[in-house]
Amino acid sequence: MVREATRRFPLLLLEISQILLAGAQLGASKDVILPDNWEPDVGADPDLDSLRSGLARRLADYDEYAELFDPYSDTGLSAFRLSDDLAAVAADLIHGLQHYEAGRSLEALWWCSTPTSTTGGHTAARRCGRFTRCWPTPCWTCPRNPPWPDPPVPAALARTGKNRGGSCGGGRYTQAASSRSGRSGSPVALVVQKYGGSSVADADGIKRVAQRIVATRKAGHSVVVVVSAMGDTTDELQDLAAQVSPPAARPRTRHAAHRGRAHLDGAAGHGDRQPGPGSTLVHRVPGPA
Amino acid sequence: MITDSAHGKARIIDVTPGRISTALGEGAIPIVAGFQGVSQNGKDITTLGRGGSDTTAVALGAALEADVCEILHRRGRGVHR
Repeated sequence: MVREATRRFPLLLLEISQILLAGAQLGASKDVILPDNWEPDVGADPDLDSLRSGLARRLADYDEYAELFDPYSDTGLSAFRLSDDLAAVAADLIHGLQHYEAGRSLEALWWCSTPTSTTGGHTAARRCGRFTRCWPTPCWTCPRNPPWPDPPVPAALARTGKNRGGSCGGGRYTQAASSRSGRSGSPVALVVQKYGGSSVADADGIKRVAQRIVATRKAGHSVVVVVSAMGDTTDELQDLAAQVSPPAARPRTRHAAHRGRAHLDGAAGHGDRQPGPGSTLVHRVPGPA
Repeated sequence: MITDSAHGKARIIDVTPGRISTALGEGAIPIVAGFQGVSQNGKDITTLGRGGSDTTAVALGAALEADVCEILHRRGRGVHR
């Protein structure tokens, strides 16, 4: 299986790098911001389930990975899948292509731009970094080498300065946690946590969110939670409304979830541009998916 | 969340988080539905428009003088602070 992975990972890395290269060649390495963060509707999202399941099949045991949602306060890991991420990248690139074919170059670039919050470039960039760090040198973030210990406690890591070794991520992780150790040492904070619709789209998501809220509370903080509607509920309701009253009278709001994120970045600077604190990861941690 | 009357694209006029503060004082974890408010004039339910739940969180964070406001996305997995 390890041999299989060493064949697949570099190929995937190459492919993802080419996506990033294409974005750079298109001039999308600079932030692309749409006026008012608003895009015209391009129609239905592409159905990429077969791509997703195909990737999942090929990646097999290496598809699933665990990631810290937020190393500053999380003590547990959440499970994610590379196949989901790659399908999301593909979906966003197709979305951009649809704009391009409709003659809207700026909107197309928006969906392909690499350093921005747009999922395509953003996710691709992060996956790319992931593969780079995980291959070919085996280290502690790689599959079963060594087995992941108890849930990490970043603050403790930062205090002890303990680095688990290996070439990928350990140092960064420790450094990132250290930079916040002052804050994490403060006794009680009031924390507002907002969870996007996709975070609470299904029962597993709701459980993950609930665990994260409880963990923050147990860390001694006061927590206020703001939630979006589950999944695409808002879009579905607005589509329903459009069928009842003429759509011409209302703003176009498909893909509101994607644009919502960009909208936020427009309002709050460019917070999502970096890989972010969630960049610590370990592959294939045994446990609930 | 007191807003103007522009349903679907309402702007926040005022945030009165008294009930949330009370709940926090009792040790509870208040859960707030984002994206919506109440119009100042008609007391109608309004919605804040695209990205409105993020707006709710930030406005609430400011009104409560929170130390941290986190915006979490599953797909982007970003944490804004």
